[in-house]
Amino acid sequence: MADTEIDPRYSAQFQRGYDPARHPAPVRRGPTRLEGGPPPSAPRVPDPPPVVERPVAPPAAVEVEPDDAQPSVRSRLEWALLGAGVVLLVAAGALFVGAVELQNRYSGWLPGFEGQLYGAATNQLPGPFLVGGVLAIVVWIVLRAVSADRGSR
Amino acid sequence: MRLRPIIVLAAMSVGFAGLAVAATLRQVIPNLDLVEFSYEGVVDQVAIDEYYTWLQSGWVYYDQTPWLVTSAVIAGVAALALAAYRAQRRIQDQAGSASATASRDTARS
Repeated sequence: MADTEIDPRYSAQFQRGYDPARHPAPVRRGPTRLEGGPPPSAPRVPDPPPVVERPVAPPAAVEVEPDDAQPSVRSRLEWALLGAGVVLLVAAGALFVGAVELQNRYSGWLPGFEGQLYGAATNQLPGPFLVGGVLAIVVWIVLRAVSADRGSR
Repeated sequence: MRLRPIIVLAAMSVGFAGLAVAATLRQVIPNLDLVEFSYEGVVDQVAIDEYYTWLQSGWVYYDQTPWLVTSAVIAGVAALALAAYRAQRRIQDQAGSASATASRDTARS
Protein backbone atom coordinates (compact mmCIF):
# COMPACT_ATOMS: atom_id res chain seq x y z
CA MET A 1 0.00 0.00 0.00
CA ALA A 2 2.91 2.29 0.63
CA ASP A 3 3.95 1.88 -3.00
CA THR A 4 0.62 3.08 -4.31
CA GLU A 5 0.60 6.29 -2.30
CA ILE A 6 2.14 9.49 -3.59
CA ASP A 7 5.39 10.54 -2.04
CA PRO A 8 4.74 13.61 0.20
CA ARG A 9 7.68 15.29 -1.34
CA TYR A 10 5.67 15.53 -4.54
CA SER A 11 2.70 17.14 -2.87
CA ALA A 12 1.18 20.19 -4.40
CA GLN A 13 2.56 22.66 -1.86
CA PHE A 14 6.07 21.70 -2.76
CA GLN A 15 5.54 22.20 -6.48
CA ARG A 16 6.52 25.17 -8.46
CA GLY A 17 3.81 27.82 -8.79
CA TYR A 18 1.89 26.60 -5.77
CA ASP A 19 -0.31 29.35 -4.36
CA PRO A 20 -1.98 28.66 -1.04
CA ALA A 21 -4.62 31.29 -1.77
CA ARG A 22 -5.70 29.59 -4.92
CA HIS A 23 -4.96 26.02 -4.12
CA PRO A 24 -6.76 24.42 -1.17
CA ALA A 25 -4.70 23.18 1.69
CA PRO A 26 -4.10 19.50 1.62
CA VAL A 27 -6.32 17.45 3.76
CA ARG A 28 -4.44 16.30 6.83
CA ARG A 29 -4.42 12.64 7.35
CA GLY A 30 -4.34 10.93 10.64
CA PRO A 31 -5.53 12.08 14.04
CA THR A 32 -6.23 15.72 14.55
CA ARG A 33 -6.13 17.70 17.72
CA LEU A 34 -9.52 19.02 18.64
CA GLU A 35 -10.13 22.28 20.29
CA GLY A 36 -11.53 22.45 23.81
CA GLY A 37 -9.68 19.60 25.47
CA PRO A 38 -10.14 15.93 25.23
CA PRO A 39 -13.46 14.61 24.03
CA PRO A 40 -15.87 13.33 26.62
CA SER A 41 -15.63 9.62 27.32
CA ALA A 42 -17.88 7.13 29.01
CA PRO A 43 -17.45 6.77 32.78
CA ARG A 44 -15.05 4.00 33.67
CA VAL A 45 -16.73 0.79 34.74
CA PRO A 46 -15.00 -0.74 37.71
CA ASP A 47 -13.43 -4.14 37.18
CA PRO A 48 -15.33 -7.11 38.56
CA PRO A 49 -13.90 -8.42 41.79
CA PRO A 50 -11.59 -11.39 41.33
CA VAL A 51 -13.03 -14.74 42.27
CA VAL A 52 -10.19 -15.70 44.58
CA GLU A 53 -10.45 -12.47 46.55
CA ARG A 54 -14.02 -12.60 47.61
CA PRO A 55 -14.74 -10.78 50.80
CA VAL A 56 -14.29 -13.20 53.63
CA ALA A 57 -17.14 -13.33 56.07
CA PRO A 58 -16.16 -12.79 59.65
CA PRO A 59 -15.69 -16.09 61.44
CA ALA A 60 -18.78 -17.21 63.20
CA ALA A 61 -18.68 -18.07 66.84
CA VAL A 62 -17.45 -21.67 67.03
CA GLU A 63 -19.31 -23.78 69.48
CA VAL A 64 -16.90 -25.73 71.58
CA GLU A 65 -17.82 -29.35 71.92
CA PRO A 66 -18.08 -30.71 75.42
CA ASP A 67 -15.31 -33.24 74.70
CA ASP A 68 -12.92 -30.50 73.65
CA ALA A 69 -13.96 -28.27 76.48
CA GLN A 70 -12.90 -30.78 79.08
CA PRO A 71 -9.92 -32.67 77.73
CA SER A 72 -8.64 -33.40 81.19
CA VAL A 73 -11.87 -35.15 82.18
CA ARG A 74 -11.82 -37.18 79.01
CA SER A 75 -8.18 -38.07 79.52
CA ARG A 76 -8.90 -39.13 83.07
CA LEU A 77 -11.76 -41.33 81.87
CA GLU A 78 -9.53 -42.95 79.28
CA TRP A 79 -6.83 -43.69 81.83
CA ALA A 80 -9.47 -44.99 84.24
CA LEU A 81 -10.63 -47.34 81.50
CA LEU A 82 -7.09 -48.62 81.08
CA GLY A 83 -6.72 -49.03 84.83
CA ALA A 84 -9.97 -50.97 85.09
CA GLY A 85 -8.86 -53.26 82.29
CA VAL A 86 -5.52 -53.96 83.93
CA VAL A 87 -7.19 -54.60 87.29
CA LEU A 88 -9.64 -57.03 85.68
CA LEU A 89 -6.83 -58.91 83.95
CA VAL A 90 -4.82 -59.17 87.16
CA ALA A 91 -7.91 -60.36 89.03
CA ALA A 92 -8.60 -62.96 86.35
CA GLY A 93 -5.05 -64.28 86.58
CA ALA A 94 -5.12 -64.38 90.38
CA LEU A 95 -8.45 -66.20 90.45
CA PHE A 96 -7.24 -68.70 87.88
CA VAL A 97 -4.13 -69.43 89.95
CA GLY A 98 -6.40 -69.80 92.99
CA ALA A 99 -8.55 -72.27 91.11
CA VAL A 100 -5.52 -74.37 90.25
CA GLU A 101 -4.33 -74.33 93.86
CA LEU A 102 -7.78 -75.34 95.09
CA GLN A 103 -7.85 -78.19 92.62
CA ASN A 104 -4.51 -79.43 93.88
CA ARG A 105 -5.86 -79.65 97.43
CA TYR A 106 -7.12 -83.02 98.43
CA SER A 107 -10.45 -81.78 99.69
CA GLY A 108 -10.97 -79.36 96.84
CA TRP A 109 -13.26 -76.84 98.53
CA LEU A 110 -12.31 -74.68 101.46
CA PRO A 111 -14.58 -75.03 104.53
CA GLY A 112 -17.04 -72.35 105.53
CA PHE A 113 -19.07 -69.78 103.62
CA GLU A 114 -16.06 -67.69 102.68
CA GLY A 115 -14.29 -70.76 101.42
CA GLN A 116 -17.28 -71.77 99.34
CA LEU A 117 -17.55 -68.23 98.02
CA TYR A 118 -13.88 -68.15 97.13
CA GLY A 119 -14.17 -71.52 95.44
CA ALA A 120 -17.14 -70.37 93.39
CA ALA A 121 -15.37 -67.17 92.44
CA THR A 122 -12.24 -68.97 91.34
CA ASN A 123 -14.34 -71.38 89.36
CA GLN A 124 -16.62 -68.89 87.61
CA LEU A 125 -15.00 -65.47 87.43
CA PRO A 126 -11.60 -65.79 85.68
CA GLY A 127 -13.15 -66.03 82.23
CA PRO A 128 -15.56 -63.08 82.50
CA PHE A 129 -12.84 -60.97 84.14
CA LEU A 130 -10.48 -61.86 81.31
CA VAL A 131 -12.98 -60.81 78.65
CA GLY A 132 -13.89 -57.64 80.55
CA GLY A 133 -10.26 -56.62 80.95
CA VAL A 134 -9.47 -57.30 77.31
CA LEU A 135 -12.54 -55.37 76.23
CA ALA A 136 -11.59 -52.34 78.36
CA ILE A 137 -8.03 -52.28 77.06
CA VAL A 138 -9.17 -52.69 73.46
CA VAL A 139 -11.65 -49.83 73.83
CA TRP A 140 -8.90 -47.69 75.38
CA ILE A 141 -6.55 -48.41 72.45
CA VAL A 142 -9.26 -47.64 69.87
CA LEU A 143 -10.35 -44.42 71.59
CA ARG A 144 -6.80 -43.11 71.77
CA ALA A 145 -6.13 -44.04 68.15
CA VAL A 146 -9.31 -42.35 66.91
CA SER A 147 -8.73 -39.18 68.96
CA ALA A 148 -5.12 -38.98 67.75
CA ASP A 149 -6.31 -39.50 64.18
CA ARG A 150 -8.85 -36.67 64.48
CA GLY A 151 -6.35 -34.42 66.21
CA SER A 152 -3.77 -34.82 63.46
CA ARG A 153 -6.21 -33.56 60.78
CA MET B 1 8.91 -45.87 70.10
CA ARG B 2 5.25 -45.46 69.25
CA LEU B 3 3.38 -48.69 68.75
CA ARG B 4 0.79 -48.81 66.04
CA PRO B 5 -2.60 -49.59 67.58
CA ILE B 6 -3.72 -51.83 64.74
CA ILE B 7 -0.60 -53.95 65.08
CA VAL B 8 -1.04 -54.12 68.85
CA LEU B 9 -4.65 -55.24 68.53
CA ALA B 10 -3.77 -57.80 65.89
CA ALA B 11 -0.97 -59.16 68.09
CA MET B 12 -3.38 -59.41 71.02
CA SER B 13 -5.85 -61.32 68.84
CA VAL B 14 -3.21 -63.74 67.61
CA GLY B 15 -1.85 -64.26 71.13
CA PHE B 16 -5.24 -65.05 72.62
CA ALA B 17 -6.02 -67.37 69.74
CA GLY B 18 -2.76 -69.20 70.37
CA LEU B 19 -3.56 -69.54 74.05
CA ALA B 20 -6.99 -70.89 73.16
CA VAL B 21 -5.43 -73.52 70.92
CA ALA B 22 -2.97 -74.47 73.67
CA ALA B 23 -5.77 -74.72 76.23
CA THR B 24 -7.75 -76.95 73.90
CA LEU B 25 -4.82 -79.21 73.20
CA ARG B 26 -4.22 -79.47 76.93
CA GLN B 27 -7.59 -81.16 77.26
CA VAL B 28 -6.36 -84.16 75.31
CA ILE B 29 -5.40 -87.00 77.61
CA PRO B 30 -1.65 -87.55 77.29
CA ASN B 31 0.00 -90.85 76.58
CA LEU B 32 0.40 -92.39 79.99
CA ASP B 33 3.30 -94.55 81.02
CA LEU B 34 1.51 -97.59 82.31
CA VAL B 35 2.99 -99.63 85.10
CA GLU B 36 2.09 -103.29 85.55
CA PHE B 37 1.22 -104.58 88.96
CA SER B 38 -0.14 -107.79 90.36
CA TYR B 39 -2.84 -108.05 92.99
CA GLU B 40 -4.09 -111.42 94.19
CA GLY B 41 -2.79 -113.05 91.09
CA VAL B 42 -4.36 -110.51 88.68
CA VAL B 43 -1.96 -108.50 86.58
CA ASP B 44 -3.15 -105.01 85.81
CA GLN B 45 -1.76 -101.69 84.58
CA VAL B 46 -1.89 -98.38 86.32
CA ALA B 47 -0.63 -94.86 85.76
CA ILE B 48 -2.30 -93.18 88.69
CA ASP B 49 0.29 -90.55 89.57
CA GLU B 50 0.87 -89.34 86.04
CA TYR B 51 -2.83 -89.32 85.29
CA TYR B 52 -3.71 -87.29 88.36
CA THR B 53 -0.85 -84.91 87.79
CA TRP B 54 -2.31 -84.14 84.41
CA LEU B 55 -5.89 -84.12 85.71
CA GLN B 56 -5.18 -81.73 88.57
CA SER B 57 -3.59 -79.09 86.39
CA GLY B 58 -5.75 -76.01 86.07
CA TRP B 59 -5.59 -76.17 82.33
CA VAL B 60 -7.70 -79.30 82.38
CA TYR B 61 -10.25 -78.63 85.07
CA TYR B 62 -10.72 -75.00 84.29
CA ASP B 63 -10.71 -74.82 80.57
CA GLN B 64 -10.57 -71.18 79.52
CA THR B 65 -10.84 -71.82 75.79
CA PRO B 66 -14.21 -70.05 75.25
CA TRP B 67 -13.03 -66.95 77.08
CA LEU B 68 -9.73 -66.90 75.26
CA VAL B 69 -11.51 -67.24 71.93
CA THR B 70 -13.88 -64.42 72.89
CA SER B 71 -10.92 -62.19 73.77
CA ALA B 72 -9.21 -63.02 70.48
CA VAL B 73 -12.38 -62.17 68.55
CA ILE B 74 -12.79 -58.85 70.39
CA ALA B 75 -9.22 -57.77 69.66
CA GLY B 76 -9.41 -58.93 66.05
CA VAL B 77 -12.69 -57.18 65.34
CA ALA B 78 -11.34 -53.98 66.92
CA ALA B 79 -8.22 -54.16 64.73
CA LEU B 80 -10.32 -54.63 61.60
CA ALA B 81 -12.72 -51.83 62.56
CA LEU B 82 -9.86 -49.43 63.24
CA ALA B 83 -8.21 -50.31 59.92
CA ALA B 84 -11.50 -49.74 58.08
CA TYR B 85 -12.01 -46.42 59.85
CA ARG B 86 -8.56 -45.18 58.87
CA ALA B 87 -9.02 -46.34 55.28
CA GLN B 88 -12.31 -44.45 55.08
CA ARG B 89 -10.69 -41.30 56.48
CA ARG B 90 -7.87 -41.58 53.95
CA ILE B 91 -10.34 -41.91 51.06
CA GLN B 92 -12.31 -38.90 52.31
CA ASP B 93 -9.14 -36.83 52.56
CA GLN B 94 -8.09 -37.74 49.04
CA ALA B 95 -11.55 -36.90 47.68
CA GLY B 96 -11.53 -33.59 49.53
CA SER B 97 -8.11 -32.56 48.22
CA ALA B 98 -9.11 -33.53 44.66
CA SER B 99 -12.30 -31.46 44.94
CA ALA B 100 -10.36 -28.47 46.24
CA THR B 101 -7.87 -28.71 43.37
CA ALA B 102 -10.71 -28.89 40.84
CA SER B 103 -12.37 -25.84 42.40
CA ARG B 104 -9.13 -23.86 42.22
CA ASP B 105 -8.65 -24.84 38.57
CA THR B 106 -12.21 -23.84 37.74
CA ALA B 107 -11.84 -20.48 39.49
CA ARG B 108 -8.51 -19.84 37.78
CA SER B 109 -9.93 -20.63 34.34
